[in-house]
Order: sequence, then structure tokens, then C-alpha cells
Amino acid sequence: MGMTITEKIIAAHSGEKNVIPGQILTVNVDKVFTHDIFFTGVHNAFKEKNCNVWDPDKIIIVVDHELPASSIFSGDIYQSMVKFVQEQNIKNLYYGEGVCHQIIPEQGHVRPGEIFVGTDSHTVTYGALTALATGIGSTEMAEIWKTGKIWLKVPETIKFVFTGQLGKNVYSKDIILYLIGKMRSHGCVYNAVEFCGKPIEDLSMSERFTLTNMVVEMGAKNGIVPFDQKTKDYLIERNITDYTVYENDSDAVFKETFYIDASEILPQVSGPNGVDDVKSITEVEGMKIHQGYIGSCTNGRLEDLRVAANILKGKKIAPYIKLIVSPASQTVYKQAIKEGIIETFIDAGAVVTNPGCNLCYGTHGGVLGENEVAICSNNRNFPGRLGHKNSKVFLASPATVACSVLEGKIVDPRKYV
Amino acid sequence: MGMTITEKIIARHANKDKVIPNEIVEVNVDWCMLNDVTIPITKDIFYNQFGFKEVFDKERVVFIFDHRIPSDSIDTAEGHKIGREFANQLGIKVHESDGVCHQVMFEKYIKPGDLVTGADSHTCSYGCIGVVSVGMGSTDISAIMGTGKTWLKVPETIKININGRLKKGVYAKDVILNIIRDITSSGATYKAVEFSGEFVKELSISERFTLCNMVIEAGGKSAMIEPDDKVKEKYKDKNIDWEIFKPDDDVEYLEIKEYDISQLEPQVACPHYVDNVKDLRLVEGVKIDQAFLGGCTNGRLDDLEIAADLLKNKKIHKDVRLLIVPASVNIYKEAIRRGYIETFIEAGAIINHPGCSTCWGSSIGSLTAGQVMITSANRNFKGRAGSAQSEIYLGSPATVIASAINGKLTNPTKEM
Repeated sequence: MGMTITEKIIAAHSGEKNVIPGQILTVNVDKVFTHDIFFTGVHNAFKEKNCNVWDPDKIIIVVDHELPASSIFSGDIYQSMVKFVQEQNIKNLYYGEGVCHQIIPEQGHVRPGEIFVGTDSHTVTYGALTALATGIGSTEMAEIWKTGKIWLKVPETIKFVFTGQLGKNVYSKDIILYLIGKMRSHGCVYNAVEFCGKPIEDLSMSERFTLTNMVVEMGAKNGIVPFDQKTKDYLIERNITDYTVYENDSDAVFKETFYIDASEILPQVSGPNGVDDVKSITEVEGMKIHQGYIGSCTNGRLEDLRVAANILKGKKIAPYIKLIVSPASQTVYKQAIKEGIIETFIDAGAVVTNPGCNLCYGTHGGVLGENEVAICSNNRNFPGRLGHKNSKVFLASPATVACSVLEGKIVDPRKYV
Repeated sequence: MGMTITEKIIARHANKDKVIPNEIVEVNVDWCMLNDVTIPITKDIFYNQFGFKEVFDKERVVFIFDHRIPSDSIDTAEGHKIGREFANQLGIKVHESDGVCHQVMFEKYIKPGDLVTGADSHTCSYGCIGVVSVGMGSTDISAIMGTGKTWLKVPETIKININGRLKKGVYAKDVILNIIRDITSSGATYKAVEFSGEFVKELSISERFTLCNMVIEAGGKSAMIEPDDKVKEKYKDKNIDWEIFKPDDDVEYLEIKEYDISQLEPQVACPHYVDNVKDLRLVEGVKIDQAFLGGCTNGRLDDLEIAADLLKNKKIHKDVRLLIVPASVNIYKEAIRRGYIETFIEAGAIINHPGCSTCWGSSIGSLTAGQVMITSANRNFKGRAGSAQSEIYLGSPATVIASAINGKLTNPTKEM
């Protein structure tokens, strides 16, 4: 029986020739990361083991969620991080460089065919580079720090095959929201999810990251976009040429295969009752909003900012409406400055924050009050995630967010083509 | 007896030919400014206690959100919502993303000869262009919003003559810190402080802003610098009425103080008081965790330029976080155009949207117990930027940046 990409990656890291879904195996991981929110938990569990880390070069620590320190408590975490990396000789400590899931691939820490785990749900993002990447808990991470190994149950793979072509001002964010609406939050629990077909091949790497970023919102263990020239080019830009490309065997077995015509997908909006509460834009158009947010590991990349800036260029956001923009990384921010994008945002009346998780994590950066309604480019809208439990958050593409803040209500971006 | 500039401006706004110190007069107010911290309280007082329905002049009441932007908590979001609704009801403009209130007032509203009130202590900054401006509480501000008037006791004026030429690495910030060191936090209580002398004439308006901004830290009621050609130049093309007042020849000051700053060294205000000022060399080497450049005291283009010059092709110390927040969006945009922002990012700094930021200490760059910060801001009170067990030093932008590069308090000349 043939294997899928995910199965092949697991097999290669477990020393097995063949693996089958449901099998539980111990695998070597290539790289791991932890960020400021879970560092203390991992660190405490690790200290009990009284040992050094298995390989300091394979451990990445990122400060991105509460940055700059948004409370006395968050300042404290940074101090213990600094002490830890110095003790353990860990060189990859990123403070203020941007959101973990943006900077880890951007800085060349992920290669195709690798297994990458992080203490954050959206670690699945790196599947866009045909790696197996998934989020884990703090105690598991502490054990990996010690041994470099984790056990995994081999997931079954669900394949989404796209045909047709995406419409104007419809983006990969709309594709993934559409799928989450169909599969609901539990539709792919512990499954690998693979995307293929011409519309996926047409997506840029930036758009592919958006796609895989949100597979966890339908319960998936990991997401995979097959390797192609675009993946290769992205890696060459980072001087990465040494990696293994896995492809599905012709007789690989999939749990299910869904065929979707991309041309049927309208701009999508998720919310306000959970990420899988997805509707087409036509059903929520005209809903009054108070705030827009463009940023996060889902949609805070240069292409996202470009799309929004093109819409906002020479215009002002509606009176008494806020727009908050958080570039996903310093690299994105610097390039956005060079291209005049930041100036466009400022002139439109936006607040531009430092790169980091900011509002998506809800501790600072535009926290919502009671009954406030926001349209956001990030990946989660659980009650209270972005502020008051009675605030409402709709998720959409950066284009939909940008159009909506111009009118103070949810707007179909196809109007602005 | 003749009148000082401050007395003349007050007299004009009281519709009187002459006022004398300690006289209580009712004055017309040109601009009334509120920020996001003080607006919610004011709304209640304005409607419920005074029973006002509308403001005296929609064009002359200005709301500026700057202390907590973007909102850092649900409470802040609620406060902003109240502010936004209040402004909407009154039909007045809200600046939600334009920068620190004092910088925005300076860039967009005030003009020489004005009398301005603001619900913020550092409103005294506007003396830098010949404006009488005072910070007030929310009750007074509410009354002004409704009537356009307030009462004032005419302050006595202390004149501070500053002469000499600064050594390399020493700036206007060091001069005002040194003056506060000398006269202490209560040295100018309810006094108008007028700066003059050759040194002041040489200063840019931005540097004069820094001097006037910190007059409140010596207890001053207001600050004043006689407008000169530099101020005239700034306003010559503005299509508004403005007036420059000069002191009478026979004016009597409460006190005239003389400073020669030729030998002045870089100064720092040490924890936990603004008047606990020492020569930097006495505390050089104190390890720092964070550095902040920004605020209404020193977040302008010339401040960012000093920082960019020092940081060019350098990295900040690995144990230090450097936060840079331009004072307004105009400054931010110009700093982008000049490449300063890129220099800062390359050096490892974190840039945030114009606003009060760490100076106000509610959200961005909080300090935890035991941490030490050097900042270009104007206050270092215990717990101002986080834990009550943290420590804040105030210094010039150059001192802030030199310290960020070295991870410890450092004389900026070492980086020049």
C-alpha cells in the first residue's frame, strides 16, 4: 500500500520503512519552538528533569504574544527566557522580530520533509513548505527539549482537490474559511489535510501559509501543500537547498477526497459564533462594525498589506471607525515602509503597531469593548478572544477588512475590484 | 509696573488692559484639549453635574486619543467608546491615531498669543511658541467645554536666563533636568516660568518645547519663551490671526535666575523623582533592561535624528529592549522618509504607533520588578511604567540611545 506525504515524513523520522494510519511511533523532531505564553510552563516541566537540552541549535524561543511587555507579568517572562537561553547556549531567541509563525519560515528554520513542533496551535502553518508541523502542549515540549523525540499517532489524510479559478478579490483566506464552514471545527480532527489542484498551485507562498495556518480550526493535525517551484524559490531566497521532497504514492490511501470548484467560492466571513460559523459575504454585507484589524500569522504578510493598501490608497477610514495594522514581522514592516504602504495606512487614519501577535491574542493592540463589532484578518474569533465577551469578531480576508473600514460596515470586496 | 508676556496674554483674554500677579480673573479660552484618559470622567461631569447640552465652540474643543492606543484592555475600549460617542454627540473631532496630544495641538491648533487649557499636566509645553497653556482637572475642563471660560489667578513670573554654549553630547533636555535639580519639584509652584538668554535664542522650537514641557515638574503653572523670528517663520504662511506679545521694559519678575550651561555635563533624573537629578557620570554603568525614546518631551524629528545618527550600522545591546515611538504621525512619516525607522529596526528597536506608550505605562513596554529603564520621557515616579520595584532614569535622547547600545547608562559622547 502506498503512503501519503505525511505518512512518508513520519516514516523517515521513525526509522520505519512503512507506516499506516493509527500506528503510534516515536519520531525524531528536526526543530521546535516555544513562545512567551507557554515558555514558563515548558521551562518548569523541563527544570524537573535536571538535564541540558538535547540540541541547543534546534530550539527556538520567540517573544511575540505580549510584546512589548503588556503587563508587569509579561516583563518577568522575558527575564527568565534570557537566563534560560544563556544557560543552555540557545542562540535562536527572537524578541520583537514578529509573529513566531511568520519569522520561523522567513528566517529559514523550516525545510520540506521535516518534522517541526511548537507550543502553539498555528504551528500547522509550516505545512505550506511540505513539512509536517503541528502544535503540542508544554509538558510534551519539555520532554522534547530533553530527548529530541516525540511519539505520534500517524494521522489519516483528507485531500481537498480544487478545480476552476478563484474570482477577483477572492483569496486563499476565503478558500480556507469556506472549507472550515463545510467541515466545521471538528471535521478533520487528528487528520492530515492536503490541498491540491490548479488553484492551489496558483497561490503564492504567502497565500499558502494562510491556507495551512487555519487547518487547526477544523481540528486537523497538520496541513500539507505539495512541493513545487514556488516552494523551491521561497527556499532558495533563504539559501536552503538541502532537503527531502516527499510526494504521495500513486496508490496512497486517503480517508476522503473532496472536489471543490474554486470559481464557486465567494468572499467568506466567519463569525461571530466561532470560526466555523462561516457565511458568504452576501449574507452579512451591511453589518455595522467599529473596528478593523489587519495582521497576525494568518494575514499580516507583505502581500496582505499590499492588498489592503491598494484599497485604502488616497482614502480615509469612516468616521469613528478604527483600523489597526500589525505587520507580521520586522522584515514585512521594513518592506512595507519602502513601498509606501505604511504611509498609506497612516494617511488613511490607521494605527500601525509593532510586529507581533497584538490584537489576535487579545491582550493589547486594540482590545474590544462590550458590544463592539470588529472585522479582522486573523484566525480566531472565540467569545472574548479579542476583548469583551460580548464583543463580536468576524474573520475575513485583508481585502474585505480594508473595504469594510472605509464604509463602517461589512462590504463585499468585489465592489472594489 | 509693566507686564510680563504671560500677564499680557492673560489680560487680553480677560478683556482687561492690565492684570497684576495674584489677581483672580475670568478669561476666554482659545482651545480646550482632552485626552482619552480624562474624557470619560469629563463626560459625566459635563452632562450630569453641570447639565451642559453642548460645547461653547465645536471647533475649539479637541479630543485626542493618545495614552492608550490602540486599546490595551476592555476598560480602555469602553473608555474610548465613551469618548467617541461623546464627541459624536457634541459634533467635535476626535484624533484617534495622530499622536501625543501636546504634539498634535502644537502641529494643528495652537498659535502664538493663545490661552489654552488641557486636561493633562504637560499642557504647559505650548509656552515654546508664546502661548499661555495650563493643565487642569476634569471639573474645570468640563466648565470650559460648556462656557469657553475659566478663572485663573495670575501667576507671578520667574525668569530663567540661560547663557553659554553646550558641550558635545549635552542637550536642552540636560539643561531642563539641571534646572529642576537646582530649583526642585516645588521651586516654581504656581509660577509662570519664562526662559530667555542667548542659549534659548539658539534653540530650535522643538528644543524649546522640551524645556517648556518639563516646567510642570518644578511645579510651574505655565511656561513662556518670547516668540522670535523662528516662531514668526513657522506661522508666516498660516492663514490665521496670531499675535506676539513682548514683556514691558519696566516689568518686575518675582525672581531672575542665571544659568551658564557651558560646563554642563549630561544629566539624568534618578529613581524615583524628577528632581533627583545627577551628573550622568555619577551613575554611569548602571545596567539597564529597557530604553524608551519618545513622548511629548523628546519624540520629535530632531530627537529621532540624534538617535538615528547614533544607531546607524550599530546594534543595541543584546539584553536591552529599545522602544521608539514618534510623537506624531507627521513625525513618523517623515522619519520613514528619511530612513530613520529603517535604521532603528536594523539596530533591533521596536517601533510603535505615535502615542504616549511607555511614558504613560499602561500597556506598552511594562517593567517588571527589578528592571531598569532609561527614557527620554518626563516622569520617573515609582511604578510609572510598571512594577513599583522597577526603576526609571530620565535623560536626553542621546543618553537613551548610547545606553541602549551599551546595556548600561552611558555618556553619549562615547558613541559619537
